[in-house]
Amino acid sequence: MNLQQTLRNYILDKCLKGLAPEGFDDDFNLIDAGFMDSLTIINTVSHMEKEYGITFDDGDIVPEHFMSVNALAAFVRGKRLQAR
Amino acid sequence: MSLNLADLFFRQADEQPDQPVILGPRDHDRVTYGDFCRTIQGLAKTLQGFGAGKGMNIGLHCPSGAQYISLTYAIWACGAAVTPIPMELAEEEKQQILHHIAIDAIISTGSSGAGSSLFAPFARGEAIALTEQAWFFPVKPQREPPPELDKLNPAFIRFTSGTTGAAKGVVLSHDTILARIQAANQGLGIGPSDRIVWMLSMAYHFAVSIVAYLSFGATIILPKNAFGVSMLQAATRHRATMIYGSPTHYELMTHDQSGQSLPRLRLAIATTTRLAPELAQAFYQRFGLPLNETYGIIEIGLPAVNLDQPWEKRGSVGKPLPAYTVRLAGQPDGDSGDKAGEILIKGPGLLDAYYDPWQLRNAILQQNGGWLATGDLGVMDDQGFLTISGRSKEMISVAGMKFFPQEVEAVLMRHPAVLEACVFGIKAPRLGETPMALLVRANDAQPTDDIALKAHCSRYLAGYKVPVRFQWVPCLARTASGKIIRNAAKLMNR
Repeated sequence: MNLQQTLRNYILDKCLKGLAPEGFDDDFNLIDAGFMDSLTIINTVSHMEKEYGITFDDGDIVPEHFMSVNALAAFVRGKRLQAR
Repeated sequence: MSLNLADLFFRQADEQPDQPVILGPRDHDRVTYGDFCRTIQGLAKTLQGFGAGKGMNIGLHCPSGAQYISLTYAIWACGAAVTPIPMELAEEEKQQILHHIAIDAIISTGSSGAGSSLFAPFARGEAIALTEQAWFFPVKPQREPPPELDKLNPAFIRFTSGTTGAAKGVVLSHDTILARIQAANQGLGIGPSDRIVWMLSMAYHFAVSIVAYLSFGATIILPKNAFGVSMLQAATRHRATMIYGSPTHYELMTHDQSGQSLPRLRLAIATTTRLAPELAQAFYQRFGLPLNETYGIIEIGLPAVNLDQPWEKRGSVGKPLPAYTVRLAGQPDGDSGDKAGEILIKGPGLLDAYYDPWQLRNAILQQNGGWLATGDLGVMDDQGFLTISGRSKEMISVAGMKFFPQEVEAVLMRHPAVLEACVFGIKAPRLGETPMALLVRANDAQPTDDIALKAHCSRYLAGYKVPVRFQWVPCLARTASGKIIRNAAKLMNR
């Protein structure tokens, strides 16, 4: 599974409780749809740090990075590039 | 005539119709007391047309926000009581509420017919559209309400799970909630000049907070979302004087890098769970403001807030508010020291009854000589500042969402591979605690992995209750009397 797919599965499972809303795709706005409460944000941070070996620094936990599956994937890629 | 909190709000709205009652979540959202009063009265009229009225109990299944508040008040305006059905729960947990508490109808919000499949097994008729987003479902009560319930003038019947994992339920009357908010306001001093940023789940937090704000003429600020930057933007834009949040929310604000400050803030209330000293320090460094730690429990409301010395005495929930007397079990009145004892409280706004098994306030208090035994352990210093040092109950708190381990153990033991389970909280960065499970394999059981166990738990439990780690052990640690030991430190060092 590629990064996009693993993130999509995580979001579907944890944020959406297995029920994809109408129009759900990798650009679906998770924040506007109300799926990113504080607990979900923190859980997503913990999951991504553990699963992808990245670290969220101060200033990284902002809406732009959590907006959608694509935004989360772009954030992970950016972090991996920085680490090289 | 019996007291109704909706009438209290209507009177406040008459006095200040143009004052904003809710600002946000969108930048230009602004609802005044006058507008909100009309919305509530309109909803109440429609609900009465559907048959809602005194003696009924209505389940509310709705996300936090302006609509949650208006629906609660509309139900009260009809004379009915409210049982919150938190959106965060798993389907089975939501249905359990209907089995344990007598509910006559449900209001559920969302797209067309939202909740219809969830509540279908209980349906007593067709779902009726209450608004564009809210549906009214008449349901068959799954049990008789306690015979004395109506006499109490109930406002909330809150479902809570007990230490055995079984239901308990707490009844709060209109009079009790009024007594609580008046007692709390002797310390908080909330009035029409206050603007309060709200971030908690309204299904769990409403009685001593939202009701207080609406009864004392304050304004509620709803941020767009729970990111630190958004909470701070809302606070800045709407000139917040107070924030009411959990340590998780303050953690998210503390790590914000946008440089926004909170110049008008007079109180930053930290509730739901114990505040880590590092977070109190980080928040102070970032904003130059202390966090006001509180002690709030469903059975009594808000008996203590650290208002006097929030920075100097960080880690303490402060002195008891003037209306309350706090004593530590095993120590005489007013005595202090560093010995922890169970926190016992006397004061206004005590719960009216436990729902199941039914137990009225006086009977609850008689068990402890007129004191409410909280189940929490505390120490009190020589100046009267109370610090919560532990829980005599074994509750786990994940980012302020609390639950008993027995509830999770019961679900784990429904899995064919699990003979016995022991669940406890382990320290976790940002969340405070996360649940972990020790498991004893059932004889001849097929091996199973963590993914399957998590999936099993997720079917029956809200996400925050699902253990993050599982460990198979030959047997569980027990006390001499056979009780499971859930002390995380001891278990992890075995």
